[in-house]
Amino acid sequence: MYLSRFRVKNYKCLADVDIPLTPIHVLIGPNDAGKTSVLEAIAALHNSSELPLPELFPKPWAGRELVFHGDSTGIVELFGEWGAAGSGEAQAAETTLGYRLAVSFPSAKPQCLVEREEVVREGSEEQIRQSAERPVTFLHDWRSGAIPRRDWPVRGGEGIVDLVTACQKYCLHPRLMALPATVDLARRLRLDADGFGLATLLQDILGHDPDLFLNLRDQFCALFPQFGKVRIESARAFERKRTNDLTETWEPGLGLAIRLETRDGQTVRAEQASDGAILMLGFLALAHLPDPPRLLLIEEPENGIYPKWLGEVIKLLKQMVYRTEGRPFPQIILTTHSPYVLSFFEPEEVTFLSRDPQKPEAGVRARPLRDAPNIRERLAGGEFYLGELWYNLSEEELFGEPAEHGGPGGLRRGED
Amino acid sequence: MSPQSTVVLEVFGEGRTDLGKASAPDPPSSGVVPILVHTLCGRPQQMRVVRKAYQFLQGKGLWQKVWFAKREARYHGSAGAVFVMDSEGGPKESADKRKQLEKGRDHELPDFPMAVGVAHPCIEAWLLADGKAIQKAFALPQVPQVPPEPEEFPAPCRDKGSNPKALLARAAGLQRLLSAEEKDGIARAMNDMDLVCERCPEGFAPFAAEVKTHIRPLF
Repeated sequence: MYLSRFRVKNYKCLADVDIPLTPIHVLIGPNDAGKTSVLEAIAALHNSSELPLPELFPKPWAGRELVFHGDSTGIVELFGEWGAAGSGEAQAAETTLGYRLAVSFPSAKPQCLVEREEVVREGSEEQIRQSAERPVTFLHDWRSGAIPRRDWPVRGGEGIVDLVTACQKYCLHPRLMALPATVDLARRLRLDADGFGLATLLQDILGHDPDLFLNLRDQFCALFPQFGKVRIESARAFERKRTNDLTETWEPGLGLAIRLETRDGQTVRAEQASDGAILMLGFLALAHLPDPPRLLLIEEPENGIYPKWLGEVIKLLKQMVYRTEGRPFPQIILTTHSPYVLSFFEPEEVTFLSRDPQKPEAGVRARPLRDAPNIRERLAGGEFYLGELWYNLSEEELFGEPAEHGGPGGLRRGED
Repeated sequence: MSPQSTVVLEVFGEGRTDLGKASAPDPPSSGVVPILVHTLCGRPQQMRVVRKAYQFLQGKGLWQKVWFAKREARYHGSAGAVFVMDSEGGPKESADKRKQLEKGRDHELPDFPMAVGVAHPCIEAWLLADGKAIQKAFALPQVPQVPPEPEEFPAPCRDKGSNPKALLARAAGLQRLLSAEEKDGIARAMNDMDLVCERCPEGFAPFAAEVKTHIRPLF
């Protein structure tokens, strides 16, 4: 099952946003349209079963800073619904399972507490914990073993425990990915959110399954034929230490570094390699995780990648999602500003986030591209790409709305 | 005039001179192409113009941009479309571009009105054809001398001193190139379309014929 619907209320600029999701899904929209906030909210819901609530949201924050400004309740609500992957009878026969978490933010304290937790099955909601005034969820307690297995509070719905699991959210920075990193058990088989720790991740993959690493290496060298080998070596490295919510320090230590070996035997430090090569190595590493998370959230994968290779990145990500054998597949949700990236997707896989120009203070709206009129016909049987429609048309034109002053269209390129 | 009788045209071009101001009131009084289309259609009051830049398409050619423009104009509910560009070259470039524009226009939707045109070598050549309009726009004491065949001059990128933009400035008695607003003024003062057709047989005459065939019947 995958997260087939996500709804968030009162989080940052998201007053009430409801998004139908697909196994791989893309969020598009202008700057300040809430794309990153949606990813943060999805990550908060997923990670709530493994982390205390105050750790779920990006720091720093205090009081009700994270609550939508127009709201007076101080409660952020996160709701996920999981459905069966695939289509047809099997999917129809499978019931959906939902989980709603309401988090209250008491004013003037950097604290948040569980207000309500519900499991939703076949349209009916059953509370599993209410007004707990605790900073951890029932699912967190259940997973940690603090609650005996026999004490599941409602009839059925235990499956939700396997669905609300920690996800990984990345906004990759190649310069940090290239740095030698000390071994950190807390980062085993993953990267930091900004991509730091690629060397240790590659070592983890190699240690787990050498064939997996060789496959990764071969794919990388096929893309960058000047290289014949990827090596992980002991080296002076960096250890990242968070000192508080705002700052971190980098301390020297012994760790691992990535070395790329050219076909003529030269060794290139990862720090000296191109951003694009390091990013591709990072995406390949994520695609070769032996035990990937159920959900991967990736911000703007196009950054630093040669446009003609974006297809390779998206192909990799789609292969991860749709592979039918071997390692379990993750769901992937991306944000992008690139029409080239968007052109690799179907309308059903895309949601457009924006603010209503007439009421920008009312929060963000989410509009699935599948709802744009004639969207399939407009692609002219594949002659035109989704990215081309997005780039060349205003939101009003895309969604078939009249402009403010009558007639078609609204904002247009090339106007003074 | 009731909003129901408004006829919306989507005009595709490049830059302020060709397209005009987005906020210009109806009927079009800004942008050389909208103004000339308006004149060629008999200056109907119900004409409204939506101005658009050329599309950005991924690895596609000019004819597909025209095709895309036509399809989308129809999806937006516009009554018709106009697509104009500068040839910025010699007769061969002009002919090649016209061929591409016509291919895009004719690719599908034969019933949707669309006029295409190539300004040769640039749209200032059309303005240069009408000395009286230049006189009126700049309140000159007499009709300036203008070349009888303005399309024979090279594009500005090929000859900085003797091209339609530079010649237009000289005809207006200016030491600098004209602003977009000044060119709008000339276009608004152009009444003799037959004269412009005669002097600009390469670009304007076929464009005027396109507009009269495909767009004028909408009014």
